[in-house]
Amino acid sequence: MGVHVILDPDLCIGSAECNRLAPDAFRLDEGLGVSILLPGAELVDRARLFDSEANCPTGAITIGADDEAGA
Amino acid sequence: MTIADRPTVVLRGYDAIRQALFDPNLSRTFDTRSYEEGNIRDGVVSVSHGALHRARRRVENSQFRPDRLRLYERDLFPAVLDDLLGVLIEGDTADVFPIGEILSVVLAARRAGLDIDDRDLDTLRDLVHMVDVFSQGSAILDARDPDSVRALVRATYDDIETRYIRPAWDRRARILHELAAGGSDEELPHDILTVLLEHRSDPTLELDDDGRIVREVATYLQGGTHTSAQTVTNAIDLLFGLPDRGRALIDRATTDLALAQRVIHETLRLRPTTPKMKRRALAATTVGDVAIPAEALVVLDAATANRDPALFGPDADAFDPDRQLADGVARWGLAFGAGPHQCPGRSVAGGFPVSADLSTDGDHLFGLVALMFQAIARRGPRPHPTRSPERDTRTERETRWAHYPVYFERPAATRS
Repeated sequence: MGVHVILDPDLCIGSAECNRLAPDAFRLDEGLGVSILLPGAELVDRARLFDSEANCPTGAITIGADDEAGA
Repeated sequence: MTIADRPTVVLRGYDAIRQALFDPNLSRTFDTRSYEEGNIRDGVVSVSHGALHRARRRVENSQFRPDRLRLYERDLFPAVLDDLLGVLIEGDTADVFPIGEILSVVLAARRAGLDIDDRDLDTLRDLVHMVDVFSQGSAILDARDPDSVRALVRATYDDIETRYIRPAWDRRARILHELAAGGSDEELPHDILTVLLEHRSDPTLELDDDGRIVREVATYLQGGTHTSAQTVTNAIDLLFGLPDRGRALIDRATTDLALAQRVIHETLRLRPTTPKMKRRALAATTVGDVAIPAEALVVLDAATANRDPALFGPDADAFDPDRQLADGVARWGLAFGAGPHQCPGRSVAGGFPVSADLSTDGDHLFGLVALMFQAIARRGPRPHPTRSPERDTRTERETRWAHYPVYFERPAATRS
């Protein structure tokens, strides 16, 4: 079963915790001051994704189990 | 409705407090008066809410990136400790709290955007005095004499603007003007004042009023100084409370920076700088199974939540920097808050979170307070033989010190 990754840029305050914890999934756009989701983020090590979700200070990141993967 | 008239809801559970800190209906804005009408913190990021708060943090968080933190922790602060501690500890006794403030204010001033001679003790003491005033202002809800605190804070804003912020502001404005005309950005400082001036024309930041920029810069100066000094003092106090084990931990920390960091995290857990965070309900909301009416004052008892045995073990009240925690549990509990208002300086002061197996890698940062604690530990601090510590009696907060005299067994120790 895969996961899906959602990042809400409206909630993001650019703490860059996600970028520190999972640099292959999130990149900080310094111009906008917010994180953006990188292509293939859902393939990054799941523990790192969940760490990013747990450490995001604004709850801007949601990692969900993709129940319908492959369907 | 005044604060005294509002219904009060107290939350003590760890999860409930975390949920409350993320709830957009709960605001840090208590006093809706303007600065002119007496709200001494009008417009500062700490009490702003929603879109304004997000806009400010997006700009200001740029000063807390890992590369900046590494520069502070690995290059700048060790030099500060080397240069200043030997001067500040002249004999075999010293007052640790003001020493912690002076050491902390050097980098806080740099981060805030003040151009100071950071080895000039008179300047550093002057800034620490201002920080002390601003700290009274930020704890206004716990002040014993709030009106006199407000008057003092207003006067101190004027003072810091005239003597420190305006000269720094003028210099940055000149550099930004030259940059706009095609000049180099080599001279452009990396600090809060600079980014505020750089982005001032963005209407979402609401920085038209010069006074807001002054208060914002002062907020970062204060935030980076006072809490660090209180934390290192509380660490020493907690260790002195464990006669044999405390001494052994101090000795271990002289060569084990990871332990020094855990000492600081354990101190923050047991003695959070803000033991009871407060919020105002902008609208009715529910946290867990607790209904909170609109306009309620919501007290988040972090000091109690940080001793939750379910998270921190059956000995949660004890000081144990080696305690085993489940993966994902922050060793500092809720000391840095959570949610959008989470302390922006968390990683500066406390470093990166420690993993459950206590291991660290080459990228790990231990935090400036751990460095400060270790430098003091190397001098062999012991309880002062005749003088007792004094708490700050101007506030109801039980975690704040005014003086903490100690005796040093090795006053001239340096980095090993």
